[in-house]
Amino acid sequence: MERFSFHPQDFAFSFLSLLFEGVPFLLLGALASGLIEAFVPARWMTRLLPRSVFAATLLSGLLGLVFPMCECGIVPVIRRLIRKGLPASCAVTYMLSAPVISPVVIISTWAAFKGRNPEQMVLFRVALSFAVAVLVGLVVSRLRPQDYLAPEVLAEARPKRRALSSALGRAPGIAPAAEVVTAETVSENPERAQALAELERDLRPTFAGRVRLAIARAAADFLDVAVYLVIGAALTSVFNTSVPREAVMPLALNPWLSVFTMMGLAFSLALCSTSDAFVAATFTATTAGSNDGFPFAALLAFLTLGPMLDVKLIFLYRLVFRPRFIAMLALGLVLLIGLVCVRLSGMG
Amino acid sequence: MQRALARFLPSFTLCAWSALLFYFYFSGRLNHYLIGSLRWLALATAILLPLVALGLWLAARGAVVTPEDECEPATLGAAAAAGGSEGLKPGQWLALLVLLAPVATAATIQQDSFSSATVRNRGFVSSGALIPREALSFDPKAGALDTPARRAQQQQAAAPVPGAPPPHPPVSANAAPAPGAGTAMTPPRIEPALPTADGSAPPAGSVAAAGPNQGPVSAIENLPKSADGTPIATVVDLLFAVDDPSMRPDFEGRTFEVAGQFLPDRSGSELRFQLVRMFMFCCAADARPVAAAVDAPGSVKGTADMTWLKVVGRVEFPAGADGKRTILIKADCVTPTEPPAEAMLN
Repeated sequence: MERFSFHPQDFAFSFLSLLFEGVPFLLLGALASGLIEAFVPARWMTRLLPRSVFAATLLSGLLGLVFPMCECGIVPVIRRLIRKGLPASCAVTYMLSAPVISPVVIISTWAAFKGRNPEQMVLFRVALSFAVAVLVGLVVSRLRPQDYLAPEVLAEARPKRRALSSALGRAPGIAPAAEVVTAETVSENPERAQALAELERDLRPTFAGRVRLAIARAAADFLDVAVYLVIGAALTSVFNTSVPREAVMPLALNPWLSVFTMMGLAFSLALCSTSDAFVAATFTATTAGSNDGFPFAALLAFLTLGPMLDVKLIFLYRLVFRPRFIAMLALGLVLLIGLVCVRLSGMG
Repeated sequence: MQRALARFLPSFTLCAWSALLFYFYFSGRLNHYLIGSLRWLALATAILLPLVALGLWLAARGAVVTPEDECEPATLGAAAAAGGSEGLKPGQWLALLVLLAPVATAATIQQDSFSSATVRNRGFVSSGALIPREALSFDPKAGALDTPARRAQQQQAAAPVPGAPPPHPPVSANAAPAPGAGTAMTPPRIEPALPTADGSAPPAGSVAAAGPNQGPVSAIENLPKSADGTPIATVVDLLFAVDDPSMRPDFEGRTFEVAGQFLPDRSGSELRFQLVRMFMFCCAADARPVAAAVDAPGSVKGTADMTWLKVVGRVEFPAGADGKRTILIKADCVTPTEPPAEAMLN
């Protein structure tokens, strides 16, 4: 049995089919992102959040149901939201959970596993993603913003966030990341405060302007994310058409190897959460314990880690976080999701 | 100049993607790539993308203020929405090239199917449990279903595939070789001549007449029929039947017509081959082969891999040494045929 054999025509066929299948979901996510950007003020989110750190973080884990976003599009969004005053712990929870806990992803996961116990996969995927995102958010709420936010984000902190924070009467535990911007900063930079106020006024366009803004943002998000989708589809297709399943299947028999192999695939394939379930479904085992596919727990690890951490996200996260925090986040996610899924694998 | 390109190219790329989707949808080629329920989403995307491109173009001209404008555009999308005022950075040009890769790929792709090597790499589906029950050509309780597989069979029977190569006359086992026989594009002659079950040669241009099916009337009586009344089943039907003791008697010992692609048997036997049909869950990338072993009435040596064949024969489900039953068709006649409209079952 050849371990690797590349066939350009087969690669092209698989590559195009993955794109044809993923692009509609990508456009759907980009349009949703654009509409939210243009029509939903960030303050709405902060007003919705309860005062308790725990309750606010829990609620943030479900925000994706109302404000769906794929993992690529969400990074610039949470960067914007942190600037506008959303507590960073809530922003991180939203960032990690929304790519899975969204109507589009729930439907696509269901569709991908149709006929193969879809309700089980959807339930476990949503529950595990929610639990991991909330846990990470709670840990972040205990950290100082300067320990995890990129210097540029801290530097761009706006005076108005201080005012917003005070106005909302936030509890100290969920103080916005901009808490580091003090009243002194405002008095020291009156010109900047004035310029920002003017900019904010400029950002209140008419309805037609909002529609234009929504489409522009959707197009921009689509272009940015589509690049990673193309790369991910190409890598997936190389694997899908060149590596015999028989070569990988021995890894599927060991709970540790199967879970961490699938997480490695999720990291390197960098698929969009709206369509990753379709790829995962191709690795399904016929029956529990059979050697013609990966077990449920390994697929769950693939579908939970992928939207939170992959090659492209490592680069995108650098727009918001410090490299050291990203490294710790990656390690924590791999260990947490890996151990939970290995445990689930042991439970059959 | 560079600024103009930075404004124009991102919108052009979106339009190129739209054109690609339109072409594949209306040429029918998309049928080979996506299951039916996802095709209309692709069409909707093809319609929306030019609108999005227009929005981007207007934004670039009017420099709609986006949050990214507060700092230097870091990504292609942000630079495009900002009007490309700074031109594009090398990384953003690279991103643009990546986005044009699908268009280039589509221009070079010559076949909307997988080669035998990739089909083998995927591994045969060994159980009906992996496939949605809706994929059956019939309802085992109520009667025939209006499934994509059945519709494809009916379309196949009614009309040639649009865009497909001109139909070859059915070549029976002892027919004269077709010009160019043995190439990947031409259904090859199966040599030496394949005798029919009773030893006589079947009439050229026709499938062997199947004997009357025995047993009580069942749901499979609602399966589509060939011109001579032989029920037409798919390998997926047979896969469900081999796994399901309640369905097995409906198929076992009866004669069916089954279409699929030729793969030589790994045993190297000249009298046995695998009749393969890909089953697509969502898109071709996740398709996996479903196979039935076929005992041919004559040697199949020289038949090109992945040749489309129509097999008429008696279905059996022999148990192996491990007790697991497999699908075996004792063929009366093996005939090259056209690919169906839905080459992959879904």
